[in-house]
Amino acid sequence: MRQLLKIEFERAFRSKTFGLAISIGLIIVALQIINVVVPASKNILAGFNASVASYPQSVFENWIGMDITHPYRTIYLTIFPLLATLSYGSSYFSDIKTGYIKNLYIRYSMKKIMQAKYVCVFVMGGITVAVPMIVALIVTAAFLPSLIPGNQAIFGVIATNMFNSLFYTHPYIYTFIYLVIYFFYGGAFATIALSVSDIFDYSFIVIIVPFVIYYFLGVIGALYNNTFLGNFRPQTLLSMYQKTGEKEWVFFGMWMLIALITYCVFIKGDKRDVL
Amino acid sequence: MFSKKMIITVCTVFSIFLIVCIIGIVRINIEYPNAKIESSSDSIEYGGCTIKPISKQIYEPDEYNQSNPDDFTYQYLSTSDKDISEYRIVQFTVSVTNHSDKSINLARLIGAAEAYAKPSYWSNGAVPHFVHSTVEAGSTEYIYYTSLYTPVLVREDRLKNMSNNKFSLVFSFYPIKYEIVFR
Repeated sequence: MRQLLKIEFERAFRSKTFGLAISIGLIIVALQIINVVVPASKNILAGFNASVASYPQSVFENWIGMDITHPYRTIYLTIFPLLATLSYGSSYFSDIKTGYIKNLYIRYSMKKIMQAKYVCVFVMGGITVAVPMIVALIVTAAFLPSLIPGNQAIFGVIATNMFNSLFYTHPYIYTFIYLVIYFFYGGAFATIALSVSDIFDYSFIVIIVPFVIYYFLGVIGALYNNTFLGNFRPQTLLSMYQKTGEKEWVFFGMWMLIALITYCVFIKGDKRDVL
Repeated sequence: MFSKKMIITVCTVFSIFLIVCIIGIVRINIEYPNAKIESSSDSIEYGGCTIKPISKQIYEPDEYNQSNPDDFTYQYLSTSDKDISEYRIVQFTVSVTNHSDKSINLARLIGAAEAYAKPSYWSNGAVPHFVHSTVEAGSTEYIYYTSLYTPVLVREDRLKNMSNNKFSLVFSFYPIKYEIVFR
């Protein structure tokens, strides 16, 4: 298993799709930094008048994860599952198509191959969506002061939001928790592609399926916003501003559900004949 | 696995990026440090005035509207279809004494305030009710603020323990956070 993981991760890090996915993420982040962070850093006290109604420009309202006044955050969250899947999500599909999997099957059991593949796709999906965000945070922190957020009216994380008190006392811990959530959700959405690799004949469709599911859940969540189903809208789950009254169990429950279903569906296929 | 040369190149690039960013982070945070906190339950000095917390009272909306018929700020709640049984109006009274030698515009100085409650982590804008818009040199003005405490702004589990909260009013967040605490 260890050897298999080593092989898989080496292939993943060397793959062009991983480079492409990370590059897309970094381009969005770079555009946000150039168009939002750098201008804000030129006049940190712009519009500030020392009353509670205003606050100096800071990391926590300008970095891409919390910048709601520009389209970059929305673009990033929109293509979130695409980036996660693009990096290595369709590798199992291409391994079957090219016959590469047969080389592994000679030396390892199918179950081990699939487990290694699942772990690798999950981790690569998580890395692909989390790394650009981490880079964005570090670069933004180099341009703007890390002032502890002032009030709800300006920063928008209200008292009914999850970890609200953390945001106004230790904002970097709050941000770190969200980066971990991004990693796990990125991983979970990437594994959706694995579980549908057997169903479709084109890798393009395999890559697009997690995006379709992500959007489908978003539409259902929006239609039934005030019902139980409204809690499971990935777009609002991944937004650092959260839906009013967001519950901790929803984050874990939704992720667990996706990861568990994809794992069961994918591993069930270990009885397939690849030779 | 990856060649040594490749690993060294990646590590070098990453280290340079990190060092540059750390220098930037240190520089900007020295220039703009976090706000100093001036918080007191007795009095604070702000903008040439001494601001003292006098009292804090919590009302149900109907109760507030009956005892303050001239204040229309929360009259709309009485006609609302919503269940407002959990809503509360917190009224804060403060005194402002002008120590300077010229009159001070109160609306400009403390017209915007934010009310806080811990440990429920509620906060909301506080609406000022001035009798006079300025405080003359050497004189004292009493001002009351009201703020709406609703389930939308507080987690359900924290809503019930409202009376155990410590309430405060903040007049400025930066570069010094001026806060008065109501016992």
